[in-house]
Amino acid sequence: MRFVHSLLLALAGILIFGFAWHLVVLATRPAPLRLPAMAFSDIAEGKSHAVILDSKSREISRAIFDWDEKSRGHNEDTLKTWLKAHQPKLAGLPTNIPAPAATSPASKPSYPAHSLPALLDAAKVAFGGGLIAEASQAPGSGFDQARARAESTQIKNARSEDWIPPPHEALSALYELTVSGEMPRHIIASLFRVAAGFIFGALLGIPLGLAMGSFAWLSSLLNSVIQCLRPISPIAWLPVAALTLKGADNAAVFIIFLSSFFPIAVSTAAAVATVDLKYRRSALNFGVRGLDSARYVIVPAVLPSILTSLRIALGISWVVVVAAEMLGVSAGLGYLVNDARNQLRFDRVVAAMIVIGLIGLLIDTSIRRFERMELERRGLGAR
Amino acid sequence: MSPNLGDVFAVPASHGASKPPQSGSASVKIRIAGVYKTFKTKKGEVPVLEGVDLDVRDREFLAIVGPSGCGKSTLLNCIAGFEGIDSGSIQIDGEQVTRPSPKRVFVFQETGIFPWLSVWDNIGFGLGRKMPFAQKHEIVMKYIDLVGLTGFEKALPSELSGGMKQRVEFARALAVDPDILYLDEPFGALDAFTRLEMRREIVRIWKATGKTCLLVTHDVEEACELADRIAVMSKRPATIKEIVENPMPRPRDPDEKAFRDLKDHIFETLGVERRV
Repeated sequence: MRFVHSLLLALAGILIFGFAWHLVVLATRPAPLRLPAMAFSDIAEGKSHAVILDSKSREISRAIFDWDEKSRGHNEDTLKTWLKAHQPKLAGLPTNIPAPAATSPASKPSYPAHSLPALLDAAKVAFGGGLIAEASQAPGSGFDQARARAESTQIKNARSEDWIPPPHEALSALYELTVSGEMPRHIIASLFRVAAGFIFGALLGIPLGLAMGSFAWLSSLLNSVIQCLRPISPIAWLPVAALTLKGADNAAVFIIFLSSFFPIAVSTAAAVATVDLKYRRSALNFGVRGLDSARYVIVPAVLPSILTSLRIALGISWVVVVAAEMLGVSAGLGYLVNDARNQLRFDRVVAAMIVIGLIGLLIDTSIRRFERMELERRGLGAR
Repeated sequence: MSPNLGDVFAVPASHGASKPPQSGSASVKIRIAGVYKTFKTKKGEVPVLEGVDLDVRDREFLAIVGPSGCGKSTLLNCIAGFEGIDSGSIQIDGEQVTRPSPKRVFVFQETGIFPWLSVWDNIGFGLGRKMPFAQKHEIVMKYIDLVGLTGFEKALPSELSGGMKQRVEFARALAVDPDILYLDEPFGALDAFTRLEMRREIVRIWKATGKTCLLVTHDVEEACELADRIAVMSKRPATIKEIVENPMPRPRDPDEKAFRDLKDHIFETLGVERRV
């Protein structure tokens, strides 16, 4: 019952978080950006209506162009003058419209110099492309038709800026990555790196910590070096590691090794140095000394501290591996984050973040279980 | 730490109620002569023991009482071989103490049993790992029975009460069949009822096994209840002020006049006003 209760509360917490996340996305996501646009209506009775809309789709100006034979010659000048006149209100618009012939790409079909398509092409180039609606067969007449066209162009070309995805987008990206097999591949790569580095770190860190805690001279010999190296972020080792270890893959494992080795060695040494004098003396009293004392008294006495340091070191390793994988490697959750960002796939970035968090939680709880078992054995359990 | 130095620094310690034990007597188990010890701290040297002389007889129950921080625990640690002395000599059966030995087992202030081992494993710890299981089991079960913990062999210390843990520690100490038990305020961490029960228990065990017991305590009543002789220590730097004989038959009643007189005498020697 108690379990169900806390499970429900945990679920509620996750839901609240997701809801808050969604709200933040909605509240901060900028509206899709519209660009100013100009459009002509279809030519009717030798005339075409034209409007200019600003970035908020407000009409700035309207004009009527004659499209009979004799007006053609000066239509380009009229258009230029007209656009130029409204330039200040259309921030970002170019100041002059280049001649159609000069700016039309060679691949495009060429039109008569002052035909409507030619003018549109010229204006398109000048507006940065895609800003002016093509004349189409849409019904309606005059300014209304021009305005409708300009606006539909604005909507079509609106650029929605890249933004944090809401939860459902991230989850669907997660699903997509999982079924495609990409996510499992990255997870395995990251877990492998962490396992390799962490096992090395523990295999070296625990014995060294035990030795440093037992022999004061060894502690004095190594302590200054270790204390100097320890505050260096493992990530700062990346360039050196990549250079000496020939390859980013080895470097990442080495960095995980560093991130687990130092915490394990230092806290094991501290735990050994603070083993209750009673236990040491009990062992001595019964003639248990040297390696026997280490094995049967010191190691069992510091086991809970070692487990705690392993848990903390593994937590650090998991944090560090993501950063270490952002450079030079071609698989792993850190790589996935970086790669998705480069592709502007923020939904994938967030999906990777979710997986990183879940795996971190899984690692922590499983080690914590061992730790609690040991503590409860000693009557020090938290509950 | 030449044994001869002790004679040079020897200060006559025993006067009053007791007679100094005969020099070279066969009944002397522990001979402490002219022991000096200084602690080196950041603020300088603190003399702790300043010429301590004490003879502990074989199979007797001797208590050392003294004010808090007077160095009585330090003295016991030196006798047990956990700490060195600056000068003087500590001899057991005529041999200089240089390090701890399973022949002399220390019972700690708060239990020194290992929390990661079961009752059985704790009691068997001192017997070594080479002893055949059947023999080890026989010894362990004998002492489990002796201290009244039958049925708790598999229990972990965390599952036991304070008094039961203390019994495990006694059993662990007795299992190696030592000559001497060093008791450093062994009941200090227990509640009043358990303490009373454990005092009865230790007397029973002492009578049953015939060990030499050396108890350090700041509880004068405890010393009077348990010991044959009571060595009263001075404040730091410590010497033995007086050794008081306690001839009262057991079981002892703290309300008897003889008991109260003994307590009064010790408080007087300590220079402590015992009435509140």
